[in-house]
Amino acid sequence: MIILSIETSCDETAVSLIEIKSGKNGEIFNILSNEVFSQIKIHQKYGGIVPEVAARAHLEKIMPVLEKALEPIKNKWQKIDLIAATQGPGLITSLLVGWQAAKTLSWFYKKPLVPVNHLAGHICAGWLNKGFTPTLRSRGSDRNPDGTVGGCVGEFKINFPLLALIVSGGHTELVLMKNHNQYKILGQTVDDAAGECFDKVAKILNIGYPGGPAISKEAAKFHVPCSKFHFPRPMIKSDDLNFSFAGLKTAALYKWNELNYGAQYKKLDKKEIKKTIHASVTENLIPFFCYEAQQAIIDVLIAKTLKAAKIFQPRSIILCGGVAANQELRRQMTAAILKNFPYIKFIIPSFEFCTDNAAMIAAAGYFKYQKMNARQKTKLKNNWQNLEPDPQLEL
Amino acid sequence: MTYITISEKQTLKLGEKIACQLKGGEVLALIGELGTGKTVITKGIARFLGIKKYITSPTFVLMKLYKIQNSKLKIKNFLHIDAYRLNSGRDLLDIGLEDWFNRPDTVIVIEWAERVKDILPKKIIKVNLKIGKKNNERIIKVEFRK
Ligand SMILES: Nc1ncnc2c1ncn2[C@@H]1O[C@H](COP(=O)(O)OP(=O)(O)OP(=O)(O)O)[C@@H](O)[C@H]1O
Ligand SMILES: [Mg+2]
Repeated sequence: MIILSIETSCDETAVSLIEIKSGKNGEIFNILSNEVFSQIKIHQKYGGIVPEVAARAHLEKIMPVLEKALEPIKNKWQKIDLIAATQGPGLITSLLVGWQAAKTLSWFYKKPLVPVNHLAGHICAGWLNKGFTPTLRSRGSDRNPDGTVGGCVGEFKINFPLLALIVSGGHTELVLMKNHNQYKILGQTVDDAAGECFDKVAKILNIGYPGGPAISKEAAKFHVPCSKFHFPRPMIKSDDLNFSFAGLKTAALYKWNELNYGAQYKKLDKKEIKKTIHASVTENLIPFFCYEAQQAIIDVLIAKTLKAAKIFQPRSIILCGGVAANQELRRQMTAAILKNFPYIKFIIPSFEFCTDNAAMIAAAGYFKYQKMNARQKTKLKNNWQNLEPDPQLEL
Repeated sequence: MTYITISEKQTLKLGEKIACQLKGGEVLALIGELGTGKTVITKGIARFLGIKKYITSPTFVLMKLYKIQNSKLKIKNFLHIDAYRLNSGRDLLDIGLEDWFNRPDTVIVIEWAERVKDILPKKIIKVNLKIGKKNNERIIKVEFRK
């Protein structure tokens, strides 16, 4: 079957066309198109996503992106069996654009419409590993034979129970799946999300937006841990599987103020302040700072994932969501899982399927559709009439 | 009234203290820099109102609505807004916030409220948060504006 999927929950306008066939190890997702228009450049000058600006950009781009995505079937709508679209969670002003587009298309072309949870999409990205030849990675190595990091260990079949760590700008969630469409939240952030923490630390340092890439770029310039710096690993030892990143944000803020303005409080003369700040800030301090902040986030994410794995003994683990594009997180999580649970299959979607995309929405929509009975499937035709997007949609 | 708290716990308590004076229909404008404890004080307010769900930062999704089940309370909705990424209040009106103002069954908390002051009603509870000199110290000024 062929699925057209639309995703606009935040700042990417994405449309994808996927053909699903059955294969030896379950479904094969053939990606016909995976179009994404990223608004990052637009929001960069504001230092973050401005909702109104995002909505406008979605509105402007949704038609061109849709047209481009439909090219492989040359606009022959009769080939499309199903439309899947993100219903939530997300920014309401952004969600609305993609959702309305999906509803209009569903009504006009009389196609069933499956509402998809964005987080389910991130997890189902695991089934999309396009172009990745499953290979058995040699034990102990955290690199695939092709030199890439992450991907899939062993044959490409995701076995349940599946433990998923979803990390993105708005979410930090540990989810257990006993089967398709069965999502159980084991833990979540109690304050800021991991991606939000990256953004806010980057904001404190004034090194640009989005924070994740900005921080990892700086962090890569420095490798040796320094005793002067140690950020807390909030809740790393707590009994539950929850996360907390507000404390890390605050620790970074305090440290930064101390380092930067400390000199001023001490009423040093201007020349001396300049010398102190200059010597410490440039070259060394920021990479230092970023390295430590990133490592604190990674340490917590890994510790809680390992803890969940120990308790729930999953057969597969997936690391997904926008923050899963972070190279260091990918590398260290791979190494940690290989070391502690070498028999558990570990999956990280390729980069294009970690950041927001529509292909993952098609995959999640497909699994949802699969489990429906005939009556439920018929009802999908009427979804355009009554379903609204839900910015707080739960898994 | 100005309060000085020296731990997250005390700020949570202060949130509860503010919340016990709420009757419904109030807008709380939280003003303070990154990490001053706006979300923490919001957690305190929510706790008093009996909300069991985690109150997480709404920076990413702009706003979160929590339903209040407590039948003894007149307040039924708790709306937690983060204006961090907004340029003006119009952005909030665009997503239908107006409908929520002046509803006697709703309490609204807005973080970074100074960014949307153009749409704030006259009658607000203004909460100013600042980082104090000592470690973990927060100076929190609460003003009831009638
Ligand atoms: N006295 C205190 N009151 C409140 N929080 C405190 C106090 N001392 C330390 N903290 C810490 O400060 C942090 C406050 O974070 P919080 O997310 O609430 O800030 P915020 O003002 O909402 O920031 P943002 O602008 O990112 O939304 C928490 O990590 C908390 O533990
Ligand atoms: Mg906050």
